[in-house]
Amino acid sequence: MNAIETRELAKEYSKFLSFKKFVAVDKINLQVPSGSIYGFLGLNGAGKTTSIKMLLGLSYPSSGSGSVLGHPMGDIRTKEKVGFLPEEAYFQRHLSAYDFLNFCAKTLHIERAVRKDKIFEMLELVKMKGKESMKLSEFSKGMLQRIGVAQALLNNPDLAIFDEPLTGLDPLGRAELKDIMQDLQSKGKTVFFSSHILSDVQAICDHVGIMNHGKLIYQGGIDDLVKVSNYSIKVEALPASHLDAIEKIAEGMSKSAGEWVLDAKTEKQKEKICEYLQKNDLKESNIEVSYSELEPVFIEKIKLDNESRGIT
Amino acid sequence: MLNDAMNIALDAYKSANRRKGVVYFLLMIAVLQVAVFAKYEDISLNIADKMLRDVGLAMIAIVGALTALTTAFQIPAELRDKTAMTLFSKPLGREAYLVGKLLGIGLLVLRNMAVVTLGIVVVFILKQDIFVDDFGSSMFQSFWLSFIASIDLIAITLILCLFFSEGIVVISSVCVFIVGNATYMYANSDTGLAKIASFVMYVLPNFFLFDIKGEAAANLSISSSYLMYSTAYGLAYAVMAATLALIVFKQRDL
Repeated sequence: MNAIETRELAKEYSKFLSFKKFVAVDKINLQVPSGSIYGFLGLNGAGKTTSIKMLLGLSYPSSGSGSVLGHPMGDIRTKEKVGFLPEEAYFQRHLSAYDFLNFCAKTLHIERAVRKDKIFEMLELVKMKGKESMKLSEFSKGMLQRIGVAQALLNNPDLAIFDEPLTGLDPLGRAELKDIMQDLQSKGKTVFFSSHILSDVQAICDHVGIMNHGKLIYQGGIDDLVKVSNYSIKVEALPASHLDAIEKIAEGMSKSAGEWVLDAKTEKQKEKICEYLQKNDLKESNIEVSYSELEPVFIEKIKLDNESRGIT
Repeated sequence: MLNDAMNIALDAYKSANRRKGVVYFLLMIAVLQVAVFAKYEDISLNIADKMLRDVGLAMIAIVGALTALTTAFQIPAELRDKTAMTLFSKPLGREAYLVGKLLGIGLLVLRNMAVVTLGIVVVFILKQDIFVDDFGSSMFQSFWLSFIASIDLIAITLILCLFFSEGIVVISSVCVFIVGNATYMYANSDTGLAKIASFVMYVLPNFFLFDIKGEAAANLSISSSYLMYSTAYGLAYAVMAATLALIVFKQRDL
């Protein structure tokens, strides 16, 4: 089951005194599996925040539809099970951290009897206990981000939507937030977040979607995205009589530390080699898959999409 | 919905009430003006008492209107700096938000008007002629209709807040207040503006209806039917304006 699902979701903006329309989101079909950590990637202006706003019912789609936790986007009952952290911590800065969280707790219809405990539990989670009486206007960007996370998790949401949550946090804060997100996943919750910090996305996400100029150009498991089409099949014993045959089907072969390493560039090639080895009772000891960094893959995807769409 | 609206109302009240200096300043100006009139009543020839009452009631109405304008400093800022995004990501209906803002600012209007009224009453007590000719009840009637006028002004400001920034909202609201006060007179005049004024009277609130300061100061009796009609008109207008604001707000992207 998908926690978030959209069908041809689109958002167009009309330019002032012009018939021209700007397409912010172009018929995207998001599928965010329940219980996953989904990284929503894209350059600035790719349409990530607009998509998130439509999911939350903060803005209305020009066409298409979608559902969040099985209910139509923007459904007010769904929001009781959703936690949202906006891109920048936009809160009423004149309030103290406690007053702000208390206000949010009331809006979330959290029972009065448990409200105070819940607020302190969240303050502890984001390492802000002891600062509850400080005004938000006195907080640094990172501290505001922590309070933002606290307000987003007050209702123990089934789905956490974070817009650029790692921006503005120091390395320790980022590590803590990543831990929080992984903890949420371990409790069966879904985390959907946009980010520019690709190393963090790669570290914690199991699914990603890449937006470019309003289009969703990739969606799927992160391993499938960053997996270099390169397999290393290790064989302990390879008689010389097979070397010629294997050389013909493998991309390359080498011997190191007494083991033969057979390279395959594609899944098909890997299967062909494995089939040959099995047929000849030669057992592979290990098959290693190489992974690339997310960043070069991401940039390549964007470049390819731009080229195919003639975008400079 | 009611609980959500009350939550927003309380927040709006506290938020607008942050600048307590403004309230003290308003109170000081109001009391000072009335006190100056009380001290130098000889400059007003034989109508000192009436002038004193008139100025006092005008102060109460002005404080109500000025407080109503603080609406302009809440909604556009929350929509622009995207505080509203955090709010509406929670199970909060847009109707609860607008109704809450109306109630919260309305409550602040009532509080500020009451504070200024108390200050003015103190001056009257010191002058030892309060409640002469049953002025106390006239003062309350004028106070009440000034409050209803302020509620209408908040409702109009709510609509403007959805389109414009703070500065423009304040200027537009002041214009609505002035035009709304003047249309009745023009609509009943022989000038060429009569037809336009009659039309405007159906669009903008007829603030002239709520202005009974002159009558109250002169201790002319205001009928209870007039009071009830004015109150009903004012509240109906506020409901209509708030409904229009809600229709617009519900269509709006945040």
